[in-house]
Amino acid sequence: MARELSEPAVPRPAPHPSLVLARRRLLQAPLVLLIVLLGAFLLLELAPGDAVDAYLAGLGGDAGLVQELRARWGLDRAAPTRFLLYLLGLLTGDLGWSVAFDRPVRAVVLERLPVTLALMASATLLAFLVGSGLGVLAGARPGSLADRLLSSLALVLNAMPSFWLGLVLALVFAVKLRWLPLAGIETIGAGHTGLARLLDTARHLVLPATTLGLVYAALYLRMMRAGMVEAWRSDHVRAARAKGISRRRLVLRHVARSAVLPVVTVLGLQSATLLGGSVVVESVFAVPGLGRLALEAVVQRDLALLLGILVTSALLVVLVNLLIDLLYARLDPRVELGARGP
Amino acid sequence: MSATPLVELAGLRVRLPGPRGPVEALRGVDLVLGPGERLVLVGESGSGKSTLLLTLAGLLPAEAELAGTVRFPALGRPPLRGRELGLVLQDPFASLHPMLTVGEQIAEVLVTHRGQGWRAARAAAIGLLERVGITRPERRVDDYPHRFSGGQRQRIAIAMAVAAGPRLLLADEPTSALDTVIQAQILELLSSLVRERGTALLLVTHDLALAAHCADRIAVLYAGRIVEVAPAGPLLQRPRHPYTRALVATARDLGRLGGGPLTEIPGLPPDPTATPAGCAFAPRCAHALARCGTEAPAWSGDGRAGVACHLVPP
Amino acid sequence: MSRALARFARDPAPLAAALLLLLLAAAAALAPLLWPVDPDAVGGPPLAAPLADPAHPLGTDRLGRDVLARLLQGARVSLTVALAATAAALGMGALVGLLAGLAGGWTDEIVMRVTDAFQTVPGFLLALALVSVLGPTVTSIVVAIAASAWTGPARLVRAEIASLRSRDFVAAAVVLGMPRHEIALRLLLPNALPPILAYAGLTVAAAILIEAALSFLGLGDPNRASWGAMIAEGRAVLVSEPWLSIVPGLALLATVLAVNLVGEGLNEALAPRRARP
Repeated sequence: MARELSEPAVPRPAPHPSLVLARRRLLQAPLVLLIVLLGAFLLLELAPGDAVDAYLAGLGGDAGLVQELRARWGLDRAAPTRFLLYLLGLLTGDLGWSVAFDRPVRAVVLERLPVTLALMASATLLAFLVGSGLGVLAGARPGSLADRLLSSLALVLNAMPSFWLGLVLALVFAVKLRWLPLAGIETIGAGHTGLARLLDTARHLVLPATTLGLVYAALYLRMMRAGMVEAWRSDHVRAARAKGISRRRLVLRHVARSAVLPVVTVLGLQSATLLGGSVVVESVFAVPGLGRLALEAVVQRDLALLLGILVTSALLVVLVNLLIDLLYARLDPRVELGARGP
Repeated sequence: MSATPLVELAGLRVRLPGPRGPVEALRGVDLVLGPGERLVLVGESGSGKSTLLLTLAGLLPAEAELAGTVRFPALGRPPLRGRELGLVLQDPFASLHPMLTVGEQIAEVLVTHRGQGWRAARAAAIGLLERVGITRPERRVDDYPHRFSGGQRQRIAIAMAVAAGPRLLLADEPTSALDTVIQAQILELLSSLVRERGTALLLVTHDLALAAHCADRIAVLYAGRIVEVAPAGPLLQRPRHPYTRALVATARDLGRLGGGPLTEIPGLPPDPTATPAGCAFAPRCAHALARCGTEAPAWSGDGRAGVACHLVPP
Repeated sequence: MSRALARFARDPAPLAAALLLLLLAAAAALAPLLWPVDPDAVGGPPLAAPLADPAHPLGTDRLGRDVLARLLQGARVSLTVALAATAAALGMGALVGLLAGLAGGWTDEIVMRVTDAFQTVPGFLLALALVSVLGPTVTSIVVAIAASAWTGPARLVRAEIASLRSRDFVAAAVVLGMPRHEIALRLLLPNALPPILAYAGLTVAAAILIEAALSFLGLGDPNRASWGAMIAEGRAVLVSEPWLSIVPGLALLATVLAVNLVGEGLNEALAPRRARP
């Protein structure tokens, strides 16, 4: 029979736009990070007083001590010199000295980072699962009662201040019902080890992660629904309906499949705001993470620590976005990574 | 042609919601399609031909208002989508799901309607890909649509539509998004597929020259109404309705068998939101009489052949 | 524009939300006349329950200050900060976007990398750092919010300018010898405005929430009552006196919800081409 008589073999498709974007982003990342560093450094230069003033604020000290400390911490040099020294230090992983903790900034940040990573990861997971799950329910029949209820719920959740939601959840589940711990990241003095410690930490993470995640769940619900509403109007869904496949398969495999990709993209874009949100949630639930550390740095005017946190966060955001780009490439078959010819 | 008809439309009217108020997409259509028959429906865009296909497929939007009768006498009930009715859409770049392999998109029809397991359905999908002319189908079955050309995608869409062996295949301008050479190949494929399986084909196009290739009968649609139906040969040689005559003349003038929109008839298609008092074609008709503007012409003939024009004596 | 207004008015939810916001703004502006109670004065027994004493309809806080008066003052702070920050962010964004979109080349590249840098630092952390450097005043909170909110509008305007630049009417203006700055301000900017306006609702809502979060963390202006700070103060007696946190929280929720609804309504009204489900 007619066997592709006149049609040429399909050439290997050009790299997908999102892959081009990912490569561009990788190349631009160092420049962007340098701008972040310079900006953050300049900003903190504007602050009245330096680390020595902050250090001695509670102690008092004579001019000699001030001079000596300034010399020890390199604060007696000009700003450009100090910026270059800071950059050099960064290359070796040195983030400077935290006066508030009297320890290297790197050590303090690394101590708090895992907690924030765990909080962000669990909040993202929860937001994605709950948000896209409910979004599929809403988008399965746009305009239905379920859709209207869920869309209204998303609208309300979207307007909810996270710290207030956290307080309400804490009041209900920790204080009144006593189902979950109120604060912290583990039971202090319980001496749990291994699995027991992991479970204990997980129990402590439930409320903060829910608080942080629910707000984003609302966002993903709305996006998923909007994507599905659009997919219902597409030709390929019309073609799928003409094939008479089950409604379940139509909704989950065809309609929802098209809507999930934009949600994944936003997952990366939201990582910066999520990190910002963790400041508030960590202080509501007294979670010793990077966010609360930032607040402590502000309150104690520990500028080196604040700078270290800003730099670490920016790096984290860049990494998460690269990760999401790769995930996207795996999820969207139109993005071709390997050299698999047709 | 004495067999029980597969499709029987009588006085079908469809009103669709539009951005500027409701649109009367179909204004009284009578049509009969026999089992295994190949009927080509010709009309300009906006004539209601796609609406007719969606009506038969049961895929009109929920807000659509229907009047008249749609019957499927040979089945006794509306056909089951996918099993008894297949649909091929116009744009093969939009009608395949970009994130599912072509194998899965064909196989799901078989799993749904033939009760096959996924493994067996995949093997059958390879056979279908081979039948529609995809080379080395066993290596292409797990590829995603973006790895195929437009013509190949339309072949795959056709494989999906015929996978479960439907009695009726609906095709909505299946070639208008493709290159001229490939258009003929796709029509050839559709034609041979329906002939070897005894499937009835209702193919919609705006291109009369193309229709001539694979039609037993041709129906001409204008502004939501069928103005002429006849077996393909007589219609092309002795068109009776002035609109059909203009279409045939255009196709002949261009002296070609390939596509191209009909731009040679003076005037514009009527406003779909307004209901004309008389014959909808009268404003563009070179032979219009006074009563053409006031009195809608009656249908002379039946669902198999006929014409609606004051100039044609009954 | 009037047709857009008519479309906006057709949908009941955004219209009701707009009315609510107008009422709130009026109440906040006229608070000294409507409810002439000093929000900072100790005017009654501490922790009076709401709806019990007509002198304190919403009760009193831990120091015996009137909750209603503080709520109204909080509304003033909240709305002022949100509107000022949004105006600043949109103005800054429009300016930067216009500059990048018009200049192209290296200027564009550098401006966009700076925009990237601002988007890479979590906005709330940036706000925290700015407030700590500038001190806790209403002005510095406005600056802190605008500093992270201008990037979205900047990208929008830049994209819009880039696509407008190639249009015929701009080419015609160039041929007619219209000066560059006039082309930018009189032809390009007005056409780039509708997408930014659609963005304004989102920015206002975000600004209200950020202001509340900053003052909740104790970084607000200590001399003025604010919803976030009220929630934080109520936290100490959350278990026994939950309304002290819940009332300002509900005010916050209702305001942000109303802003979002109005923003969405405006969006729909300004972009009618986008079909609705």
